[in-house]
Amino acid sequence: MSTPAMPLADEERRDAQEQRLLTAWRIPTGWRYWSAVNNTVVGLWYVNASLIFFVFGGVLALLMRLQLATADNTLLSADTYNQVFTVHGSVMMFLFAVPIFEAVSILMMPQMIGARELPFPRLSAFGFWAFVIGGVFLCWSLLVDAAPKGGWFMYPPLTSGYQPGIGADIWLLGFSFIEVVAIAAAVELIVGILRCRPPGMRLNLMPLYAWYVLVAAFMVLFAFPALIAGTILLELERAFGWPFFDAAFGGDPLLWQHLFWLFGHPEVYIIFLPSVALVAMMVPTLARQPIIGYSWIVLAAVGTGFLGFGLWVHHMFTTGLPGITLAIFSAASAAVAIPTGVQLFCFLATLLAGRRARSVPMLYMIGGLGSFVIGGLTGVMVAMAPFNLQAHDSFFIVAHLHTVLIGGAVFPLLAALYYYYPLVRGRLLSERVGRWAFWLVFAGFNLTFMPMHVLGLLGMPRRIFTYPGGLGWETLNQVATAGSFVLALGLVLVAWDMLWPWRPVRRATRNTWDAGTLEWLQKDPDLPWGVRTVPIISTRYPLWQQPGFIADYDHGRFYLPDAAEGRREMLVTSTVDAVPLQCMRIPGPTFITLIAAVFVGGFFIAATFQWYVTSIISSLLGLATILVWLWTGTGEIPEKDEKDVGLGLTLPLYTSGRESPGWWAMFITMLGDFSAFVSLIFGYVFYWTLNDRFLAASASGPGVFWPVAGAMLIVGAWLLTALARPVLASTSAALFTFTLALAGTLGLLGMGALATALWDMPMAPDTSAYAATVWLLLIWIIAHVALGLVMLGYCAARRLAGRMTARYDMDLRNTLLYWHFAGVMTLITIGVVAGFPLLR
Amino acid sequence: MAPTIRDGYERLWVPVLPLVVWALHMLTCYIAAALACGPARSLDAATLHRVVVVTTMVAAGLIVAVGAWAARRSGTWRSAVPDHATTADRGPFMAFTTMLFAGLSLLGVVWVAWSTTLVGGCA
Repeated sequence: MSTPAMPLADEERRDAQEQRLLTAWRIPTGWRYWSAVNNTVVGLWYVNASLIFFVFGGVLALLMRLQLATADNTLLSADTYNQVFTVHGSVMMFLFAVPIFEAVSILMMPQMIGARELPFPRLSAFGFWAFVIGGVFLCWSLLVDAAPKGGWFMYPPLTSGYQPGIGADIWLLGFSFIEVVAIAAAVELIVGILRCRPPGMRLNLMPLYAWYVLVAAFMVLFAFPALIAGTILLELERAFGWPFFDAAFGGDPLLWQHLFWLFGHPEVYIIFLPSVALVAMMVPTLARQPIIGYSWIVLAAVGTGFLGFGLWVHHMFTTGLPGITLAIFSAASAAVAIPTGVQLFCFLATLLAGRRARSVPMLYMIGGLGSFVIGGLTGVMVAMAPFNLQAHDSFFIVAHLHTVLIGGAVFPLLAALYYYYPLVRGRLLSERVGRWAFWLVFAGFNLTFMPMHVLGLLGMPRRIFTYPGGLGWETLNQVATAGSFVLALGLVLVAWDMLWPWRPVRRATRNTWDAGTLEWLQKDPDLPWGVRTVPIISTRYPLWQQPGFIADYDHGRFYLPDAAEGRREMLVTSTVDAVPLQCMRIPGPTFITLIAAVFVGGFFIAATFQWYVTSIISSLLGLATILVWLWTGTGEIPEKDEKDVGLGLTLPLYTSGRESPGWWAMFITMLGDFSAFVSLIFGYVFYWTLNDRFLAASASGPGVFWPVAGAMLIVGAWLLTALARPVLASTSAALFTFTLALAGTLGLLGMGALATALWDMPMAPDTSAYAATVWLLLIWIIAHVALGLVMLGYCAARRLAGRMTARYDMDLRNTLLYWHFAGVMTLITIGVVAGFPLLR
Repeated sequence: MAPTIRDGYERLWVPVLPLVVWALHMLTCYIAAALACGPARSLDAATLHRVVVVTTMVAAGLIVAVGAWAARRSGTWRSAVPDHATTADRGPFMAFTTMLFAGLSLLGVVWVAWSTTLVGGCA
C-alpha cells in the first residue's frame, strides 16, 4: 500500500518541526541528566545495570566452580558457599534475567511499534531507581557476610526457623520491592503494546516481539504476586512469629513451595519468551525472508503463557503429593513442550526458506536454540515423575536449568547485543572478535554444563560446598570448572570489544542489517524523540513492503510530525485494530521518581533491620512523594479539547474511563493485586483442606457480626464512590466533597469494624496459623480500604482545586475502578473468614 | 467526532477462551484430587473418577465448539497456507489463532484426563 497523499513539506517547515520536537524531547544534560525519563535513556541505564548484576552473579559462579574443582577444597567455607550460591541464583533470576527483559523492552519497544514512548515514562524511571536500590542492597549483604543462604527458593522451615541473621529478611524484603517494580514495568509494557501501537497496526501485523513481551508481561502480572504473597507470609513469620509455615501451630511449609513455584515456574517462561522474541525479530532479517508461521508463533507464545501456569507442582514431585496430582502436572509439563517446539520449527523453516547471511547474531541464535532444545528435552525428562524422583536436587537439575536458561535466554541476548548494538550505540561490533567470542562462549558453556548432567546421574547433589575424593566426581568437576573459565573468557572478549576505548570505531549505517521492521527507521541513536512521526502501518515489514515508507517518515508525512505546543505527545489507539483515539501528553524529566524510589526503598530496607519507626516514616514520605508526583504530573486539564495530529485527523487531548491508558493501567495493576489476594485465599483454602489443626482452630474465629458489619460499611463506601460520578456531573463542589467525605467515613467505620473483629478473636496471630491467616486477610482489606480513603481525599482535593471536572474526571474514574476491586476483595474475604467456620 | 474504543472487533478475550477452559479443567482435576487424597478424604475414588470424566467431557465439548466455530470463521479450509499478513486479515487471523489455541487446549485436557485416569489413585 502506498502512503497517504500529502503535500511535500518544504525544507524550512520540516526543520522547524524537527527543532520543536527536539526541544520537547530534549534529554537533560549535566547532573540533570539523571532526571531523564526518555525510554531510550532509562532503558539503556536499565540494561547496563542488569549487565553489571550479571557480571557480579557470574563472578560468584566462578567462585563456586573454583571451590568445586577439587575434592575437599577449603577455598570457601560452607557458610560462605551457602551465601554465594544463594546470591548467585537470586541475582541471576531477579537482578538479571527478568530485569534485562524489562530493560530491553523499555529500551526497544516504543521504536519497534513505532511509538514515541511508553505511556508512563516516569514509571519506568521509578522502576529503574527502585531496581538499583534493591539490587545494590542485596549484593552489599554478601560483602558484609550477611547475605541470605537458603538457596534462591528460600524454603522454610530452613529459612524461617534455622537462619537467624538478617540474610533471609534482606532476600524477602529486598525482592518484594524489586517484584513490585517489576509488576509496574509489566503494566507499562502491556498498556504500551495494547494502546500505543501506530494506526493500522492491527493485532495480526504486530511485531512478534510485542506478542512475546505482551505474554511475558501478563505472566509477570499473575506470577509475581504469588511470590509477593509468599514473602509477606514468610516475613511475618520471621519478624513477628506468625506461624504460617510451622506445622506445630497448624501451618505448613509446603504452602511456601506452592506459592514460590506458582511464581517460579512461570518465571522460566518470563525469562525465555522475551529472549526468544528477540530471535523472532532477528530471524527474518538475517534470512531476508518474512517469518513463516506467524500465527503459529503467536500460538506458541500465548499457549506457553497459559500452560506455564499449570506446571508448578513438577518442582515438588518429591514432597509426597498424591500420585494422581503428579500425573496431572506431569501431563501438563509434557504438553508445554508442544508450543515451545512449534516456534522453533517456524524459525527453522524461515531460515531454510530464506537467504541466510553469515553473522555473529546468527551463530548465537543457532547455538542458543540448539542448546535450548537439549535443555528442553532434559526438561521433559524431569517432568516425568519416576525420573524426577531420581534426579531431584542433583547436579542434573543444575545442568538442566542452566542449559535451558543460557541456551534459551543468554545466547539470544548475546545475539541481540550484536544485532542491536549499531542501533543503540551507532557503531558496529567486530565480526572477527565476535566469532572468537562465540566459539569460546559456546565451547565453555558446553564444557561447563554437559559434565554436570553426568555428575548428577552419578549422584552428586546440588548445593554441597565440597565432596570427598574417590567418588569419581573429580575429573568431571575439573572439566566443568575449566569450561566455566573459557565461557567467562568469551564474555570478557565481548566486553572488551564494546568497552575498550582505543578500539577502532566502525560507524553503523542506517538500518545496518537491511531489516524490515520499524525500529530500524531510526537515523541516529542520539535523536531523543522516539520516532520522528507516528507512521501508518499496513504490513508486518513496512521497510520492506510499504513503498516510499522511509521517505515519508523522514519528511514527517505521518501523524504528529510536530510539537506545536512544545509538549511531549504520543498517539493512543484501540487495542485490536489500532484506531487512533487520543493524542496523549506525557510528562518530561523529573527527579521525583528517584526521590520516591529512595523513600519506598527506605521502607523495605529499614524493615529488614526491624527499624519499624523509620520504616513507617519512610513509607509515609514515599506516599507523599507519589501524591506530589501524581498531582503535578498526571490528569492535567489541557488548554483545548482537541488537537490536529496531522493528515486531517483531530483527536481529543484527554480521555477518561475505559478509553484512557491510565484506566487500563489501574485495571491491569489491580489484576496483579487481585492475584496476590487470590494467593492468600489459596493459602486459607489449602490449610482448610489439608490441615486438621487449622480446621480445629477455626472454632475460635472472628465470628460473623463484626466481619459482616465491616463488609456492609465498606460496600456502602464503595456505592457512594460510584454515586460520586453523577454527583460530580450535576452539582456543586460542596455536595461532591460531602459525598466523598461520607464514603470516607463509612470506609473508616468499616475498617474499625474489621479491626474490632480481630481484637475480639480469642487467638493471637502468633499462636496459630489459622489466626495468623485471618489477621492477614483482614489487614489486607483494611490496608486496601485505607488506600481507597487516600484516593477519595485526593479526588476531593482535585475537585476543590479545580483540577477535576465532570468532563475531566480521570482521577475519579480510576478511584472508582480501584474501589470495585477493593469491594469485591472485601466480599470474598468476609465470605471466607466468616463463612468457612460455619461449614465445619 | 473521534472514534471510540468500541469500534471494530475488540473482543480481545475471545481467542483465549479455549485456554481458559483448559485452565479451569486442570484446576478442577487438581482440587478434586486434593479433596480425594487429603487427610479428610472428602471424595471417594469413584466420585473423583466421575468428576474427572464429566469435567473432561464438558471441557472438551466447549473447546471443540469454540474451535469449530473459529475454524469456520477463519476460512482455513479455503486457503492452503494462511499467512494473515494484510490489514484485511485481522478477523481470519484471530479466528485462526483461536482454532490453534483450541487444538492445544484440547490436547492439554485429554493428556491430563488420560494420565489421571491411568494413575487413578492417591498412592
